Amino acid sequence: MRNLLRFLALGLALLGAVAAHAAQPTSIRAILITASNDKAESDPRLKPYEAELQRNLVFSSFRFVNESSAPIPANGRSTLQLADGHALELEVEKGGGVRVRVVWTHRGAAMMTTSLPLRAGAPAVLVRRGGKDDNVPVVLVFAR
Amino acid sequence: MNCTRAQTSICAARDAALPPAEAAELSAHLNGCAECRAFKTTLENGLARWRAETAAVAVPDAELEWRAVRRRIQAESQRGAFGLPEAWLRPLRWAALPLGAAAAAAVVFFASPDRKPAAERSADVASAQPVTVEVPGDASAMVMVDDRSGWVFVVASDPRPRDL
Repeated sequence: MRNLLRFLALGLALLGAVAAHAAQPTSIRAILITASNDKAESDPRLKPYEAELQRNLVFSSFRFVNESSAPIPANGRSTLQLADGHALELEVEKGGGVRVRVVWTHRGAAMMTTSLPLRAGAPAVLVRRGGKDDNVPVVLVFAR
Repeated sequence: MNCTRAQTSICAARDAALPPAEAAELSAHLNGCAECRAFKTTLENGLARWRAETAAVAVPDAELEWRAVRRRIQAESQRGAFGLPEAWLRPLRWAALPLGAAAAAAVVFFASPDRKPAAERSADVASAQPVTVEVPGDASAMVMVDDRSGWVFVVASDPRPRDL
């Protein structure tokens, strides 16, 4: 009897915590930048990210274009409009972590569709390289 | 008699009287060996301290202690969950099992990391790095995770020129 009541109390407490967590929307923030191999001064708005970008990508310089963010409910969708016709259609799945399905379009044309896990403080970096490494669009996607 | 044998004899003398010949030999050795005298003194002091400390320890009466434990067990068993009287909890008894089961089922449902169709779920589980990428046309894609920062990089390369 005592164990049953303890089990009940534990179950209800867990249920409350999980339901509250699942109900919280995830804030998704996206930064559009362009990358190139031209020598250029670093953009102060990209200072927190520049070292990781330069270490992992082959480009010499990065230029901030614009950014956008939106709260997205668990298992919900939203679209972030970025500059120059770039848009991200986002779908958030919340469970053990945050998993985001991203459909990146440019002036209506598909650039990339990806589904990936996002951790707080560790963005996903989406890059679409063309034939020449000049003004390559790069999108940083953050979850909070 | 050397020091090793003398110190063995010193220890043995604590348990029982030494044979007269050995006792005489030990006595003669101790007269001429300061190290063995110090060993004997240290041993005697240690034993004296051990006797004093063990004499000071109060050993509880086992019978009285057992009765006290039984009293505590009986008092505990008359109390219900969370220290509440059993009579207060009796009305909840009928609801405990179904509510507990319902709560557990709800927790499993809400806490499930993946509520997608079975086919998609198995594809994720099968993949060591669950990042999927689709790119149009003849572009190719590459995924990498920086092990230092944890950042995920998804790079699609298109052979055709593409402007922002």
